[in-house]
Amino acid sequence: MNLKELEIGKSAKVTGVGGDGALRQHFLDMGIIPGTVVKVVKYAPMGDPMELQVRGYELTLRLADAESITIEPVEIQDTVSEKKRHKPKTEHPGLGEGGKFHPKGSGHPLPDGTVMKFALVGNQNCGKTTLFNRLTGSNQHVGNFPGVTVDRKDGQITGHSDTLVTDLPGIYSMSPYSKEEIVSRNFVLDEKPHAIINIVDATNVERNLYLTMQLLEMDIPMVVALNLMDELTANGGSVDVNAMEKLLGVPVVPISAAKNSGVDELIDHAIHIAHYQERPVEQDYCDASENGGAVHRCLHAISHLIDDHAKAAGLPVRFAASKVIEGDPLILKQLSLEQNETEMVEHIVLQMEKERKLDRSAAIADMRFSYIHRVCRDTVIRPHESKEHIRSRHIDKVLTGKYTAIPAFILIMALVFFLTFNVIGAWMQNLLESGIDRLTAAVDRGLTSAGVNDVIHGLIIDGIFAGVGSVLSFLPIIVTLFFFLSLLEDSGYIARVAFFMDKLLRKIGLSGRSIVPLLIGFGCTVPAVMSTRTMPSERDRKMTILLTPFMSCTAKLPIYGFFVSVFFPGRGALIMTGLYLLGIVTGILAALLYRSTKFRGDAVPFVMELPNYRLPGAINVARLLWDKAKDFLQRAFSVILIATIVVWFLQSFDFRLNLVNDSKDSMLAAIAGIIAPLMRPAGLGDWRIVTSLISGFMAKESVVSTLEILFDGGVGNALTSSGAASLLVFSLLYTPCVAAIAAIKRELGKKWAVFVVVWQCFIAWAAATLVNAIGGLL
Amino acid sequence: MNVIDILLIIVIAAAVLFAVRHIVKDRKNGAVCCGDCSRCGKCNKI
Repeated sequence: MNLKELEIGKSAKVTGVGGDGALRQHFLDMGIIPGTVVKVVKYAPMGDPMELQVRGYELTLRLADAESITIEPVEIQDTVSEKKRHKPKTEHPGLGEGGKFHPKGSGHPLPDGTVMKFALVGNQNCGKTTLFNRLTGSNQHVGNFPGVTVDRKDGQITGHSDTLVTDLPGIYSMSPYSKEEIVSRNFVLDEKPHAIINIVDATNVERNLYLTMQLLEMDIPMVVALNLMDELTANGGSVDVNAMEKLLGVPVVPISAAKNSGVDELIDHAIHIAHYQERPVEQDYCDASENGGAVHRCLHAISHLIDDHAKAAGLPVRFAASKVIEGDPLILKQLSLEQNETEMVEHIVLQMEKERKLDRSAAIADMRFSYIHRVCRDTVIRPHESKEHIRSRHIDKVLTGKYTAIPAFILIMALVFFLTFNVIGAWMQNLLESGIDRLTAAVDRGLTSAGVNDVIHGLIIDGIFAGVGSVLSFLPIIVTLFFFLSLLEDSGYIARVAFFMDKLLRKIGLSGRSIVPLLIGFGCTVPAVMSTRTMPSERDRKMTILLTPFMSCTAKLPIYGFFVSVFFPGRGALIMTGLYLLGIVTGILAALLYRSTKFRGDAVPFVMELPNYRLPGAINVARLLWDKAKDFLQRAFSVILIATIVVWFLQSFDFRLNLVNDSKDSMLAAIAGIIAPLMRPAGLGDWRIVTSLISGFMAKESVVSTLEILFDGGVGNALTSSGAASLLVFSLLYTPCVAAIAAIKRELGKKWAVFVVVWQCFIAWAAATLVNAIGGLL
Repeated sequence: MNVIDILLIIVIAAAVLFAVRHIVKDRKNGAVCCGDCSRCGKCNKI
């Protein structure tokens, strides 16, 4: 029997994990190994993927992958609550503290003045970035779905100028499954931090300790931060910290990063172990008496065999040996073993497989989980089902329910857009707009009464105030949309959207994970492109990056708002929603084209953890909004200000620097006039419109400021409704701004970046021409 | 051209200079994400 055949609510024991390569290794790393008990929670509304409960957490995987996992059904009681056991008290081992583990003044301290480098490593969504913010006083963005951090971030521990903490992307193991895992692994291996701060989710110790085990093998000074201890104890669980510290051989500090408790103690321990280079107490995790000791003998034999190669490559021997057994290609390449040695390794591993009756990867994963099981048995009292989990279960009945998930998603997105464009954002925008209008009128009167020169008067009122002012008024809408997007992200809902949209996205050649970058793309294309790094397949990643520009970013909102107010008043929400949908539909068409041409084949398996729903932190949301508002204001008073002045100058003077009476004679008209004929079929042949679109390449908001200057508020007379519709469609689809192109270049290279510019412009031109032609017929 | 005109020109020029300086400084400090995180990464530094 395979996992696909297991009914909802039933449990089974895994008897074999089929498949091969990185995906199989990933299954093993996530805890799906022979002997593990799994329970089917539900299927996605479209019947695929499935949600499983394994080792106390929720995991999603596709039916096709579930088919490769063989099982035998078992009867398991639903309750997981544990009674407190009475155990003898464990004496505090005192690791990471002066005077106990080693006498004060002994050890091998780093030279004075050395900047101590720390790596913050942990599973996805276990609170690394929250802890990083606590340690450094930073305000990095925190989310509630796996993979918020996609690149390393550095910061100094507050009050300790000789420290540097690096927040790494969340990983489940040191196996290179996705790009972010390679980033984290390479950092630990190549940059050799002085110490590791390993953050472990106390509510799910078993799975989190799997990574800890591999980090211990690295033989780098390490401290374990048991995060979410408040949640664990509130739900009746506890951890015998002293016993765990003794078993792991590294300091263990219980903390709550969100509530800032235990963080000072963690800092003290981290600095101590880094300064004195206190390495993990050497332990043999592979029990010689377990299962005939096959894994133990194999691991030690290979450790001796590759010892010289590992040292030459600068790799910890124990870590290298386990990776050699697993057949990790990157480590094998680094070790450059000779033919004889490779053959010897193969013979040893084959013998181990024969004796252990498990294949190599499963045997190593089983060895680690067996040790973890012993640690958890002796130190952890599992909580009863947490109230966060109960709450998530109830909410999921609706939000991921068979018949309710998709309607709920459409309703939520419609509500977000309605509230942004018609209620909250629009109301605040009107308020700000009237304030800017009043200020402009007052300045205008003041300049007139002061007898200011007409040219300077024009520059200030028709240039700066019209340009920057028109962009500024969109601040409330942008902040409101970001507010709702961050609520969705922080709550954990976006991970659910990925779960139930997977089957739909697979039809266009993408994976459910693609939904995360695509939704972020509604905010800004730059982070959307970067967030694709969480995707394990290069094909899916490339395809998703190429599709993010179709998701209308918030910087385009001023353009839509500007034209809607002039040409389609009262139909704001309808036009805006229509534009967003058009972007999505065009993206789908493009995806189908990509799938049948350059990106043939199927999307890679969808294996993702579903976090509990959490109430978004007010500070976190406020911080994000402040950042977005500040960023927008800075852009308005820097890039947009300069763009408006340049545009005003070019449209006010000719090439001999004479002031022109009609902007048709200006140098801007002459330059833009060269491209204008190209845009005529789309109904956008006016040189002023061409100019505004070109300026939009620097920053989308400057399209509006440029139009405001060039048309002097008279854009309503210069364009027909169909021309305006055509311009809206062109703005929606044409090339993303320079920052987004730079991000694409960074991820995919120059060729793809140039392709995106040309391809998006072509699609935009074709769509705008079509809209203009249809408009002409009506 | 009167004194106010000259004053206004100075204020506008100063604003432009400040804006240019801000953009250049941001690019150098990495306050604005250039998207090239592997080579730059400055916006990730605090």
